[in-house]
Amino acid sequence: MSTKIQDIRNFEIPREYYHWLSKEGVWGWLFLLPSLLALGTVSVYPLLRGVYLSFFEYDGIGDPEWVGLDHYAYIFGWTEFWIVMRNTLVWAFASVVVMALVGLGFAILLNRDFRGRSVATTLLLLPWAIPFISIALNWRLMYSFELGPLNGFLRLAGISEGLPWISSSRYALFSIMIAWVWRNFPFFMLTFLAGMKGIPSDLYEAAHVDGSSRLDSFRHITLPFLQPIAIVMTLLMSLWSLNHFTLIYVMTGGGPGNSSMVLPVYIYERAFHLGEMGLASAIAVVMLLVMLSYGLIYLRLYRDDVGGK
Amino acid sequence: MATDTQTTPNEESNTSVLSDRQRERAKRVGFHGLLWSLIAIVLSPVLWMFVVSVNQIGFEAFIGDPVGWAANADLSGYYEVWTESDFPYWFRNSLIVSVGATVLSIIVCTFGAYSIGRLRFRGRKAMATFLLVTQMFPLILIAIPLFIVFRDLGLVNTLTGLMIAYVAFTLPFAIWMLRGFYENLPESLEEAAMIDGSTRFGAVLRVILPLSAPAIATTAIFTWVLAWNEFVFALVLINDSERQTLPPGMSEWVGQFALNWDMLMAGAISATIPLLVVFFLLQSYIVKGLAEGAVKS
Repeated sequence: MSTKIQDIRNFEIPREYYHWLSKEGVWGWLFLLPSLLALGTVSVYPLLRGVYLSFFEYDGIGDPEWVGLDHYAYIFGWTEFWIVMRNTLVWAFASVVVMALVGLGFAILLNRDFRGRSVATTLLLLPWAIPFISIALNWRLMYSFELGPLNGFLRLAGISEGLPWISSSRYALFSIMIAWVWRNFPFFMLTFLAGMKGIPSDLYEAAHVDGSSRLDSFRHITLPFLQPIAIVMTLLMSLWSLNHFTLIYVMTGGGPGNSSMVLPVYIYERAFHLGEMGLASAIAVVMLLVMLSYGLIYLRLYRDDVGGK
Repeated sequence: MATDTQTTPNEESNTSVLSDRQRERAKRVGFHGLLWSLIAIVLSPVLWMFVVSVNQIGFEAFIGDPVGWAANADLSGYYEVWTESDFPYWFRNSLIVSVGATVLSIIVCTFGAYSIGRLRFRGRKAMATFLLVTQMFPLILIAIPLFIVFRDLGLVNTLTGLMIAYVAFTLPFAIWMLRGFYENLPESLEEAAMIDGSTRFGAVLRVILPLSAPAIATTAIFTWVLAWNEFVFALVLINDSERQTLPPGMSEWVGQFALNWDMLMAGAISATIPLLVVFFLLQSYIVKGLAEGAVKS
């Protein structure tokens, strides 16, 4: 049934009716020109230059020295790199799944009529209205051994003397992920809620008349309707998570050891603290390949849902 | 909670109208209890941020004696942030850079989004995909060469440079978001104006832009938030503390004032205020804009 909707949405005038030199085509490219120029200058050109730089040894001061593919060869046999890569993937994908589930749960709770609904929605949006840097500091406090309410609660309840949330290599990444989920679940909550409002209510009534339970309706009506939204949102959110820097840099700096280190922070440290801009670029290129292949496979699988029109 | 337990025995002899009503009521109480306790859990970090910002205190001490906490509360943390640190500079720089980058992106993206969202021409699909692909670029891969280029151009350590750099990630996002809105406008809008003799450009300026003002405003807010939050580019492209923006500036505090939690939290709250103001003034817009962008694109 969702294909029907997709068909209508993706309906397009057959190709022979529009040509790039048609009147609309000329205006189309003219209007796009400023965007393309801007992106070419600040995004595509630096990106290509970064790829180029990855074939050099460069400390940021002297002359770049050509090393060919040496950096790449080095990276693949490098245990530390693989640890960081694994952390990055866990960080991005596990947290997005949890965010989507928490967001869905709250959307279900809020998707009914009750007094105080808009107040509840607004309050739940609050984490989203706090800048990353404040969240990072806020959650450092949450996890603080002496002043943090989490450990305070554990002590009051007599459960433990307090956990080393972000200061132990075992919990650090996981603890930061909680903060990341906390900040981003409202995003899923809002979009799911908007999606649920768009579902025609007679569908539910018909299902009810046919004797399906609420769980059945949820599985066969709500979820299929939310699927396209969920797919776009998880794609974007996982890409944003892969790129995210602030929480990890400020809360642990990637430590202890490299236990909570992710690629963006690692690449930054390599390039600007250790002066290994070439090697750092090579790692970043590997990261680009990971993100591109993930994103493109995703788009290919769910082309209709992302509405690539 | 009390009603909850009282209704349970009644449910067994569930025949009278009264017990049905009581059951409804118990359900409602249960629902509200669940919802509001979840909300309390979600909000607890923010509440704790506030508690500590006015009086640095441990959790047990606070629970044991909240009155004592209130009696000793003061604004010294805020005073320290706003008068004894570089925070005011960072705050000002963040405002300049984020507003500048937003204005820049919005001017450029309005036409780009219109083109991709509304005009039919060959290559449009490819351009839409290209925009999505730019979201797959690691920002740090862009930041390293951008640093080298900006250094050679003398743009390192300038707010102008930072503003330009921010276009790299604000522009694709803004186009993507606004595009969905243009797709949903009725087809005949500009045509009427064009029949009256105006060019496509004139029609966009006089008919489309005024109509899309709310959508543009929503897009601008989201773009501005992205820029307000940005960390890596500012860290890489700015060296002077007085030219720094809030995120990297405040991250320095972690090493310097690790135990001044009242100051750290006062700073965290101060950096939040502009966002909060915007969010709560324009909340209905934002919710609507996001819903439209998400559902339609």
